[in-house]
Parts: sequence; structure tokens; C-alpha cells
Amino acid sequence: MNRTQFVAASQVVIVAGKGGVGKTTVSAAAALATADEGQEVLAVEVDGTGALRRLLGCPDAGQEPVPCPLRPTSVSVASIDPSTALSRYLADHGLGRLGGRLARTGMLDLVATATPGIRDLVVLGRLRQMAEHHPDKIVIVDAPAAGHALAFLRTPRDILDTVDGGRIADQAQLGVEFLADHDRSSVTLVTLPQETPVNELVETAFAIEDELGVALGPVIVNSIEPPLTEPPPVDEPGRAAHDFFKQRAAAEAVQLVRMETELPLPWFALTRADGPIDRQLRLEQLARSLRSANSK
Amino acid sequence: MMDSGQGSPPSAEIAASTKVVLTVGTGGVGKTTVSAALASAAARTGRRAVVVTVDPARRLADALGVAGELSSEPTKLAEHSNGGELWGSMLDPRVTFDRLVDSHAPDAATAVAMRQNRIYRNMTNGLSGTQDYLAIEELYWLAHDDRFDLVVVDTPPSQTALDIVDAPGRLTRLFDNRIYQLLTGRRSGATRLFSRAAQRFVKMVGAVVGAGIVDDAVEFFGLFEDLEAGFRDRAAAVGELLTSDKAMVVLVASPRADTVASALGLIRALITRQLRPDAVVVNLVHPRPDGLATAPSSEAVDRLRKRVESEDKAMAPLIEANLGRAIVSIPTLPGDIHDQEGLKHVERHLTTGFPNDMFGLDGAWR
Repeated sequence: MNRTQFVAASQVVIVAGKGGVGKTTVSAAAALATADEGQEVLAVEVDGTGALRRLLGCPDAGQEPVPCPLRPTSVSVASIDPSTALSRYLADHGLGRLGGRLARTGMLDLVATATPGIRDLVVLGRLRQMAEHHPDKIVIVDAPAAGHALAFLRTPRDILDTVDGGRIADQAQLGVEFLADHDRSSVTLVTLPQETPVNELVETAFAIEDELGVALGPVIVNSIEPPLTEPPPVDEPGRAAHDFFKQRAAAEAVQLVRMETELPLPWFALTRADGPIDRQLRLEQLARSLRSANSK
Repeated sequence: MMDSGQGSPPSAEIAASTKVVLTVGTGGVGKTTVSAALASAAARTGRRAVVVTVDPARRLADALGVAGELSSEPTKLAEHSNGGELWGSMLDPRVTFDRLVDSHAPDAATAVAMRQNRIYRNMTNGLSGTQDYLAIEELYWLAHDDRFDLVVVDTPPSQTALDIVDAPGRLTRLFDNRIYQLLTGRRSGATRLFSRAAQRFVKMVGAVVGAGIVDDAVEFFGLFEDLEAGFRDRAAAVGELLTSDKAMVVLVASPRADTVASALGLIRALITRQLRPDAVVVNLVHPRPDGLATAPSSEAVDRLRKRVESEDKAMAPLIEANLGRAIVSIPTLPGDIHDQEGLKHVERHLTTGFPNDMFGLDGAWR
């Protein structure tokens, strides 16, 4: 299978990053760009917030993939809701008959409380299934929000350490193997060209690779201030504006150099949007940028 | 509660009666920096303020200009001649939970058994969404620590709902759960049917998650029963504190359409819980130099105008929401805020407001 440059060489690509770095937008753009490289793509959100499916124009997407109106023949979109996935899983494993009554009495909460991470594990199981059902598709996953990405990836290991036997342990074992199989899964990290996001990127990257053995694809650096090409204007507000962007670009350049020194991974640059712009137009812009960018 | 003064510049100044400040918002908006600046500004006015973060990353230490890491034990960072003090600490889930168990356990043996329980250990490693609850618990603890008269809590990022405010209730709801009652045998006196159902349940759950975990769960909930009264009281006390006029809620957003939408969602969620944001801080706003609107066209001016236009458009729903609360905007610095200079910049804007007429509001905040 021909792989694109800007996502990693695996079937499932988990796009992860801290809150506010534009992870969902980058996931959507990567899905479109991958499709435009001639691949079939399945874009999946796993936190139930609906951000990715709305951005890709399928607000009603559920666990079954639906075609994305932006690329109807090559991109489909699915959403895995953690709670639904858990009740489905339990129903599939013999707890279905008691299910109705036990769900009303809060069994799901109890199982989730007794086994922290079980929701994440079940979500990961669904992802694995989706990848197996769609072997010809690249599966691009918008990972859980905020700091949960690392916890999400750690879940199978943590659960293996906690439970002894039972189907969940089997699931966890499969999850560990899936994440460690570099042909099947990898993680693409998104960051901003700023000090704290770069610090967090480096920490997360080392934790993912060293601690979990999960493959890392190229880093995508979002919202880079484009360089100014004109000389500074002579008027006062013009100079202030010029200085601001110049200083910001210089501060960002320092962070990018530091990132390259501390993290030996290829990376792609996406620039900051200039003004009010339709979200879908912006998405198409970003998808084009990803395709035309060369990794650094 | 803070009120926005008529005509006075908007500010997020903390009233003397305020004992706790909760900063809420989505990720990436600079919530930690704003929390640090609120505490630092209060310390300058003579308050003994402590700022606590739940974020295990070094963000708060960076924002406060602390070289190393902060620990769960508050560290004094600054002292002022007017008696004001600035302290910082970082939440350690294990330490907070252990303290909670120790203070509510009827005897040492129960506390020890709890600490050794595998479910408990797993719950306290931060995996299971207990951070929201812990942040609240830490807030309560620090609010009753005589060293401090103001506690600023940098809450975990909330994506859509206000998990943090619901957290105490969520934990106590567990006790009302019938399955919990079955497992702990609370209903065992009622009918034998319950114990049969419980056995069947335990067996089925065991087939899925392993038998050991069920035993641990039964032990965990059994031990928890001894702590229940204490937890309930604490949850009620925290709820009372948060809705009292001793608490101030500061919502932090950035001038982007998606974060403004999340902020509005948070505000609605707050209001249904009898809480209102007392101030809204819009962080990371592009600078607006005087005369920008009429300046001759150039690459930099055109770019800045477009950015400003984009921000105004993103901000419009927040203005239209007509909160009757101060909306304070903080211009972004070209670089990162990670030293005293940057912190002072945020402090200055928190207490005086943005110097220009932001978003065409002209100082009128109704």
C-alpha cells in the first residue's frame, strides 16, 4: 500500500496533542489530504464530542462509517462514543440479557469505576475492529482531548497490570500488541511553535516511544506565523504590527530549532490563518498545505 | 460576587470577601497563566494567596517562573511588605486521595486496607477521571488552611460540561447505586433474591473483567462504606462553598470561534448549577495599536486587521450573550509567558483591562 508522507507508515494513524493545538482540524485535513493522494480513508473520532464529524460535514455519523460530503467516494467518517461502545461490548459478552436492568441500576458505572480505563480499552478494541473490517483504508483517529492521549495509549498496559484474567485482560493484551505493531498503528503528534507546547510534545513523544513502544509518525506543527516579506512600514501602527509579527516569528523559530534538537522526528509546518475564513475553505487550504509541504 | 462597575474599566479583580477562585475553560487558552496571574495580583494587594494546578505538566511552574517543579505541598514563592504572599502547589492525586482516606477512615486498619486495595490504587493514578473530584477536594482543604486566605484553583480543562462542579455529586451518587448496595450487602437483609442476584452479577462481571478485580471491587466498596459519611459531608460542604459569595468563577477563553462556543457551553452549564462566571477573560488577543483601522495598507497592517476582524467575529456570540459580567481581554505577547515579566503583563491587564476599546464595547459591560 502506498503511504503518504505526512501520515505515518501504518494503517491506523492516531492524531494526538494537547488541547488547543488544533488536533481535530489537523485530523480532518490529514484525512482529506490522504484521500487526495489516492487512498481510501476512514476518519474516526473517539471522544463523542462531535467536533471531527461536524468539521467533515457528517454531524450524524455514528459507529457505522458514513460517506464524507467533502470527499464522498474516498473519505468516510465514524464516531465511537465511549459509553455506547462499552455497553455494546458488555452486551456482546454475555451481559446483554441482564443488560437492561443492570444498566438502569448503574452497572456500567460500576464496571467503569472498578476497572478504570475500560472505556478507553473498548474504544481501542472498536478501532482495531474497524481497521480489520476496512483493510484497504487508512484510519485516521482524532485522539481523546487534552492530556488524555497518553492515558488512552497507556490504558491496555495499565489494565494488564490491574486485572488478572477474564476477557478484559485478553482485550488489553490485543490492545498492547496492536499499539506496538508499527504496521498497524502509529501516532502523529500535533503541536504549536511555542515553548510550553514544544516541551509537552517532547515529553509525550519520549513517553510514547520509549515507554509504550508505539511508533511515531511525523510531527505536525500548527499555526506557524508566516514570515513577512515587506520592509517595515513608516507609520506608527504599521510599525507596531510589523514588529509584533517579526517578534512572534523569531520566538517561534527559536522553539522550532529547539524542537528539532530535542526530538529527532520529521515535521510538517502548517501556517496560521490570516483572517475570518469559512471552516471548510480553511480545511481544504490545510489539506493542500499538507500535500505540498516537504517534511523538515 | 464581583460586579462590573458602570463605566469603570473591566477587571478581574478579586473582592476582599472572595476566598476561593475557580478558573475554568477549555485547553490551550492559557488558563494556568491566568490562574497564576490572579493569585500573584492578589498577593500584591496583601492577600496570602495559593494557586494550585492539577496539570502534571510544568505549566504552572513555568508561568510562575519557578525553576524546578512544584510539589503537592505548597511552596512560598513571593512575599510582599504589605503581608501579601504568593504560594504555589501541584496536585498529586495519590497524596490527596490518601489524605482523604486518612481523614475519613474510622480506624487505621481501614485506611491501610484501602490504600492497599488494587482498585483504590488504580483510581488514584489519575487514569479514571478522578482529577475533577480531587481538584475540588484540594480546594476545600486549602480553603481551610490557616496559611492562606485565598485559594486559586486551575481546574482541569473541561471540554463541554463542567465536570468539576459535578464531581462531588458524582462520587456520592455511587452510594445510591443499587449495584453498589448489592455488592456491599446493604440490602442483604431485605430478601434472599438480592444476594442471589448479587452472586450472579458478580460471576458475570468476573467473566468479563477477571475474578480478582471483582473481589477487589467488593472489598473496595465495602471499605468505602466506612468512609461514606465523611465523603457525603465533604461533598455537601464543597457544594455550599462553591455556590456561596466566597467563591468566584473566572472563565478563560481565547478569541476563536470554537473556544468561544465551548465557553458559552460552559457558561450555560454553570448557570444550571447556580453558578455564574464572575468574570470572563479572553486571553491571547492580537494587539490593537492605535490607528490600526486607518493606517496605510501594508503586509503587516493588512494581516493584523484580518486577525482582529476574525477575533471580533469569533467574540461576537460572547458579547451578544450579554452576561452582565466583565469581559477582560489580554493581548498576546509575541513570545511565551514563562517569566515574571510575562506574568506581570497578564496581571496588569487582568486588573486594568485592555487599554483600547475592545470589541467595540467602549467600557459598557451590560
